[in-house]
This record gives sequence, C-alpha cells and structure tokens, in this order.
Amino acid sequence: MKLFQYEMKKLLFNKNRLILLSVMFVVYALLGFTSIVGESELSNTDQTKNGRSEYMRLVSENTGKLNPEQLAESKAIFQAALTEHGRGEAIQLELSRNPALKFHREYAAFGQRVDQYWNGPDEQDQESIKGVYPIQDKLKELESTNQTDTYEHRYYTKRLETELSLGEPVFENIVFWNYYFTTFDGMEVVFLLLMVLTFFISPLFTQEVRTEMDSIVLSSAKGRREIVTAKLLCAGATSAIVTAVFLVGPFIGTCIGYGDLSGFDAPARGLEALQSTMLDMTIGGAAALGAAWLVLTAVVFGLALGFISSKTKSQSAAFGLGIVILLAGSMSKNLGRDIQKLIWPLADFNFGTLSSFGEIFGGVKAYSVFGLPVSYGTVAFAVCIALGALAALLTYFAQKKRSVV
Amino acid sequence: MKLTVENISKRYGKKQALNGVSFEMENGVYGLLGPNGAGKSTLIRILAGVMEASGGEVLINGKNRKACDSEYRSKLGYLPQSLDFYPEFSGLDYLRFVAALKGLEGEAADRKIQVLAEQVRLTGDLHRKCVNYSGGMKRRLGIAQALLNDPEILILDEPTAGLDPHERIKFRNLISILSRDRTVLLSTHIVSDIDSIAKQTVMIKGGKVGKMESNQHFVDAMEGKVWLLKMTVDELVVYQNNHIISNVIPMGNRMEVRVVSDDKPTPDAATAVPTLEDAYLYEFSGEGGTTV
Repeated sequence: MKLFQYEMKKLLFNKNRLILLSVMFVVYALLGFTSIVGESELSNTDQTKNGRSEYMRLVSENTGKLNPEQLAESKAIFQAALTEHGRGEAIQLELSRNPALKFHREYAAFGQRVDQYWNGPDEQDQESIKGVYPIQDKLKELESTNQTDTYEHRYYTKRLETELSLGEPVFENIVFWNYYFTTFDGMEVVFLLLMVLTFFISPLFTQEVRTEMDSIVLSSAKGRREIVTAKLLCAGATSAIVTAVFLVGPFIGTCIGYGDLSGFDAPARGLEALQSTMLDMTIGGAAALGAAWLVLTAVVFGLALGFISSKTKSQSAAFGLGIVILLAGSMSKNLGRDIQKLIWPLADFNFGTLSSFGEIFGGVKAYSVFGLPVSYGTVAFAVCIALGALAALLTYFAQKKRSVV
Repeated sequence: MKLTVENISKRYGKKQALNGVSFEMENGVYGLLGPNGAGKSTLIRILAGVMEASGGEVLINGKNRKACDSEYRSKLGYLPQSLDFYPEFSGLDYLRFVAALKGLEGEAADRKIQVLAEQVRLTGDLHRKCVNYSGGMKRRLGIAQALLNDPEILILDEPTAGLDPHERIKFRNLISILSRDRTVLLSTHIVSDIDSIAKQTVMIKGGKVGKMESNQHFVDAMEGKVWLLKMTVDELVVYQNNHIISNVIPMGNRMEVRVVSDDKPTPDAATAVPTLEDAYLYEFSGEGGTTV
C-alpha cells in the first residue's frame, strides 16, 4: 500500500501533474461547452432562450411513436428549405436561426430511422443485413435451404428477437445526451484521452532509469514483484482518474451550455451514436456503461503502457512507442476492406477501436464462438481482460529479468 | 555470513569487463580498489544482484545467490555509484519510499529514518525536496537509504564521492562501527577511504583481481620499493615522465620526491616507510604490479 501511495505521488499526485490535470479538465469542459453553444438556438444564453423554448415545444408535442402526418409535414418543410437554401452553409445558417426548421429536419431524420428499423438501409451489406423485414426474409431463405443449424441462422434469429424486443424508435428530447455522447467518439477518445494517458504513464518505469534509482529498486526486497504490483495499480488508478476527468469535464461543460438533462430515461437507440445498438437500456444506463467501458479500456491501455515503459530506457521512447501503437491500431480502420479482413484482430481490437463505445456497442457486429453468435461487446470485454492480464504478466516478467547496465 | 565470489566473468559484446574474479568475504570491511574503468562497478552491480554475470556465481554461506534471491535482497544494502532523486520527493519521502521497498513501514520505518538522518546529519533537511540538496547531502542521503534495513551485507560503490573531508571521516567511522557484525564491501579509487578501516582489500585492474589480502600485506610487499630523494624543479619535470611519484614536498629551493620503484633510483636515495597508496600506485601505474 505504501509503495502504491509513493508511486501515485511520482506519477500523478504531485504539483506539476495536478496542474496539468486541472488544465485538461478545463479544456474538456470547454470542448463540451463550445460544442453545444455552437448550435446557437440551443445554447443556454439569453439571446437564444426564445428559440430554444420554441424548439422544445415542438419536440415535446411530438415525443413518442412516429406520427405519419407530422413526418409528412416535416419532410415537406425541410425539403422546401433545402430547395431555397441548398445543402451548403446557407442551410446550416438557417438551421441555427430557425428552431422550427431544426425540429423538422430532426423529425424527418427520425422518420427515416423508423423506416430503416423495418425495411433496413437502401443498400444492404449482405454480410450483416439490417431491418426487421429483410432479416425475416433472410431467415426464411435459410430455412427453405435447410440451413437452420448454422451460425448464420442462429445469428439472425438472435438479431430478430433483439430488434423486436427493442421495438420501433421513438422521438424524444435528448439534445443534451446527443452532444454528451460525442465524448465517446473514437477519435476524440484517442486524441484527447489516450494520448494524454500515454504522456502520464510513460514515465512509470523509465523514471527509475532517469533518476538512476533502478539499482536501489532492483536490489531491494520488494523491488522485483511488489513494486510491479504497486506500479501497475498506479497505472490503473491514474488511467481511471484521468478518464474520470475526461468524462466529467465535458459533462459539466455541456450542462453549463445547455442545462437540460431530459431524456436520460429514453431508450439508448434514440441517440445518434447508438442508432443500431442492440443494448436494451436507457440513455442514462448507456452513459453509465459507456463511462465504465471507457474506464476499463483506459486501465487496460494504462497497463499496456506500463509494460512498454518497463521495456524502454527513456520517457520519450516509451511515449513515442505508445503513440505509434495507438495510432497504428486506429489507422488500421482506414485500410481497404480486404486488408481489414486479413488483419481483423488488429482492426477490431486495437486500443483506438476498443475504447470507442459507439464502435463496440453501437452496432450489430457479432463473432462466431463455437458456432454461437457472441456480441462484439462481449468479445471486446474478454479481449480487454486478456490484454490487461497479459500486459501485467509481461511486466512482472520484464522486471524479474531487468538489470542495470 | 560468508559471501563468496566464484570465477565471475562479464562480457559487454566483445569487451571482457570481468574475467574469472574470485574472492571471499566474512564480517568486516573489505576494500575493492582500482582505477576508473577497471570493472569495479560491474562487479559491484553483480554482487548487488542488479546485473547478471556472464559466468561464475555468487554464494551466500555456500548457497547460490539466485537460489535465495529474495532472502539475499532483504539482507542487502546498496549504494550505487551515481544516484539522483525523484523531483517531487522530499528527503523524508525518499527514505520512506526506500524503507517501503525494503519492507519497513510505519513507526519502525520512521524511527529508523530519524536515527539514520541523525547519523548522516540530515535531520534538519528531511522535509526539503532532495533534488535541491548539495552533492554531499545527496550522497549522505544515499548512504542513509543503504542502511535502512540494517543490512547484513553492505555494498558501497564510491560512497565518499562528493563528501568533504569532515563528512568523509564521519562516514569512515560510521562504516567501522557498522562492520562489527556485517560484511561491508567498499569500492573506491580513493585509497584513504579504506586505508584505515578495511580488514582486507582486493585490487582490480582490467577486469581481473588479485588475492584478497590485508592492507598490511600490500604495505609489507612494498618494503624496499619506496624511496625519498631530493631534486630541483627542473629535474623533477623530466624525472616524473618515467617514474612513479607518490608525493612531492617543497624543501627550500629543492623538492623532496617520494618515488615508487623496484630499484634504488639514485645512489643518494633513502628508503621510506611504504603506505597503501604507494602499493596502489605500484599496482596501477603501468610499471611493476603483481595483481594481474
């Protein structure tokens, strides 16, 4: 415990690091605030309060299941606006000035989502069919060709059950949550959280080399095993704390900018980031799960950084290597589909992807495990636990073999 | 406690840093004497268990160190040659951290820290950031950390570097007291550090060591090899190029020169009483030497 406390003091609980963490908190809060005040008619300022109340009135009047008449009206109004202003900056300006038009745009988009729920997208991915009716058709096709005892049949049966139990999307006032959930966006997490974490954790072991304390640590009774436990716990705790700051900062910023948390009990599928999710939970539940998931992946990433730090001699080398691993994984998504299929473990389970809540829990992806469909989230959880355990074991091993040169 | 070094060797790529090093130590102070680059720190690191030897073994009471690694480390105190500190730690934080590393916590740790801080004269500075300490204070803090666990084996690599003469004497006295019931290996190139306190000394040169002998043995071996002669400054300038000179004292317009040599350097040279420093110079000045 004492060793853990001192490791925390070295890595996080010292003046410089706490100042840096406070600055990060302010930056995160500002990002949350500016993202919502950018949409001027929604921001919590005197000039826009009237516009906001008009928007809120329209949303609350239409909350619930799809109203075909309202959909037709919204489509017509938004189409007319597009005809008048085009699709460029002019329509964006009009949307920021005209709260009713913003509502109609959102209702038209909502109508499209309801349509997709039943009929799927216009262009189907044949490897992952979407929409209740296309899935039913696919199941019929499989049954007619006696393919009922196949992974594909089990997968689509499960998908259909989930889609039907989740039901058709409903229209809700979830403005705050749509903005807040951009915090969980993959690239935002990579650049604003994981890179910061790389900076915080890279000195975990390299500082012993820099200060030449390695000799004393390694020659001490607790310098081979207990110190590694303390350092790994410290990496985990630091990751969790920095992640908490990353999650709380934008929440407070968005609260200051908007101030209305309604919609936390609406279905998670209402969120733009989780439109296709198979999670049967509320937005509040999804936010809690997203926070827990981000903490978990950040802790695992922190443990991996701990291992990198134990194998390098300087903080800059550890930091550079951490960034390369992070970016190489994230960039693998930009490779062609054929290459991605070849390197699917890297493309699906790199730290950039793993830390993206929307990517892991926002879709319908599943893996065949012994012929049974297992959701991306479940497999990703198992991968995270395995990666964390592997990083910890490798770090213990590295410290056991470590020597001073 | 018997510490045996048996045929230790170490290679760095093509460079042979240590070659068949063997000696034995029991309770008392042992000196490891050699010039810079002789392999002292490499040997010390191997003994401290922070570096693996390429060959040979270290035995504790006849048992291989690796077989009782944890027990060995709990009995060990080590001061490396160079040491820096965590910028955010005070002296007290640092000693508490090392105490925790050595398995000493709570009041027991604090009591020990107070005693050691007193011994190394850091009591009033314990709450200061240790990166702001002077070189001597840092060294004293390093000595204190090595003693935190009352080690049975104390390995000190150039412990007096950066200490002023007063601190050096205090350190020597402290080590003398501590050595009654433990093994102390003190590596240095400063002869006076071990002259009066080392029970035995081993000289290391080019990665090889001679026999572990008492300091008196080295001094006795120098009988008839240390000479005093007088010469002018101009003569000295020429003379020092091909002779080992251990001391020069101005005597009016001439110099009294102390020369280490197998043969009588001049007919009028008088023999002098040898010291360990003379033996060191004899071993390590290219001319003469029997160690390697």
